Amino acid sequence: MKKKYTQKGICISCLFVFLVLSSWEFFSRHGIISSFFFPSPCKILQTIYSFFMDGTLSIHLLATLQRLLFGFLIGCNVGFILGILMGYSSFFRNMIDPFIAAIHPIPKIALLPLIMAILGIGEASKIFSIALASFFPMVINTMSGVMQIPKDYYEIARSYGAGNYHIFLRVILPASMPSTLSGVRLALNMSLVNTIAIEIISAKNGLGTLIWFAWETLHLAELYATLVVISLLGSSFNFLMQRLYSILVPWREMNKSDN
Amino acid sequence: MCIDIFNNILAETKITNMLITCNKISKSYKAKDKELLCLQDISFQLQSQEFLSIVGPNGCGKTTILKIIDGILCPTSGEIMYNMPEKKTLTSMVFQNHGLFPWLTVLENVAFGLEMQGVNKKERSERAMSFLKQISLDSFARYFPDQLSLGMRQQVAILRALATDPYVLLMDEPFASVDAQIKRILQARLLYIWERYQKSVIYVTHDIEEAIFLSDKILVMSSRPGKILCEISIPLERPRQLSGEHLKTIAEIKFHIWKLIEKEVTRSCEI
Repeated sequence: MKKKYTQKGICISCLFVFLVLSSWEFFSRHGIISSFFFPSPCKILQTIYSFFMDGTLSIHLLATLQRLLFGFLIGCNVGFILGILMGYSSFFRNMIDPFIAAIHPIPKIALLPLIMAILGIGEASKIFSIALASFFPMVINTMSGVMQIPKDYYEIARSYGAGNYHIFLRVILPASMPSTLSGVRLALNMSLVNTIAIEIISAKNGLGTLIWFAWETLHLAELYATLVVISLLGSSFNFLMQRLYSILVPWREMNKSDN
Repeated sequence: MCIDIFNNILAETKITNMLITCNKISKSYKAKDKELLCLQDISFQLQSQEFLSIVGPNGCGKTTILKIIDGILCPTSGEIMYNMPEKKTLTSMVFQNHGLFPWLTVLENVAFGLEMQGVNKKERSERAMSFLKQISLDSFARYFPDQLSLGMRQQVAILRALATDPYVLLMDEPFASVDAQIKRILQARLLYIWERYQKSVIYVTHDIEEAIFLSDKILVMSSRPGKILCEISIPLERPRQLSGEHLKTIAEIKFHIWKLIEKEVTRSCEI
């Protein structure tokens, strides 16, 4: 999962990115490509800066982050608990699996109208919809993580006198952790996707509305600026998840550094 | 104080001297509609501080015997008598392919049994560390099992079982996966641990020579359903040498055991 960066590789990446950006800047300024559709990188940065200064950015970013995190945390926790239960007991699995199999293939955004009809058009329906989007990757990955634990480990732990508490804490939880964490990462990505989509469809604030507003007024520089912010948000999530992985799954990390 | 208690235990066990008595143990599994008989009328006794090996062809139920003694499995019929003073851990098992938890460090793995006994964190770390020092593995305490060599992992697995301070160590082909040279060293270390900590050992292996080299007594088993073909005492004094007179005796016994199970092994190959 983690890429290895060599010094040479970093140099090549930096140089090429710089080349692309500067030629974009050059072409855009001299009218070789339309500066309306492709505003120059400096213009985009300026827009981000002015967004930041007049407070637009913080209002919308906070709104997005808030509903994203609420939804994500709810969906993740429910998904985790159900995933553990379903992975461990075939009774639970047989009971709940049909529902998951039926609802999982539906793009969660398609459920939004139904959710809004039930929960109203306020914040609750948005958060529920985001929670639903992060629930599925979480429950599926946690479940398969628990199911893949070799039976031997249970037997070994029991032979040393482990009770259910220790079996959970010392076997199920750590053994399923790599899979669970990839569930968390997918859930985080899914909730970002769905938050933006929901905001585009129906919200008064958030980065998604900013995108839609820029399109309606044809301020494409603002559109680009918002996209850059969303991209940064997504990458910082991925970065955080990598850190979390190396903290919670140290035994896999250590091996990697050896190879 | 501790030594006193230990001597008392020793005195008590000396009287009867039999730690474990297995009486006509049978075990069968349900496979589809058939009852599959795995073990048939297994009877033997384990003395205090005895090194007992069980040899036999693959699939004869050697591991099942260990699991039954450890209490992981229940016998279908027959009984086991444990003649040991009550203690948290009577037997500890060393599993095939080490069975260490990859997500725990070496230290945490060795301390695992102690944690299950409810020993607090500080004390169990110290005790686990002192065991690791015994075989100079203390510098690897913070490593994870996957970072160690196969031989090291097996030793850590033995320490994990030893750390719970059982009367009997149950070992399921512990050195089957390491190469022949390292096996020699590990055997020597096992014998050192066995003498130093005065444990009894039941050692399952398919390597006849290894069994003769290590054991006081060998149970030879038939292929499925597993029965005990015979019980052989090894008369060699310790420490045993792989040279001179010892080597000759070992070769003789090996030939004798091989003659006994040759038919069985052939049969298990044909199935």
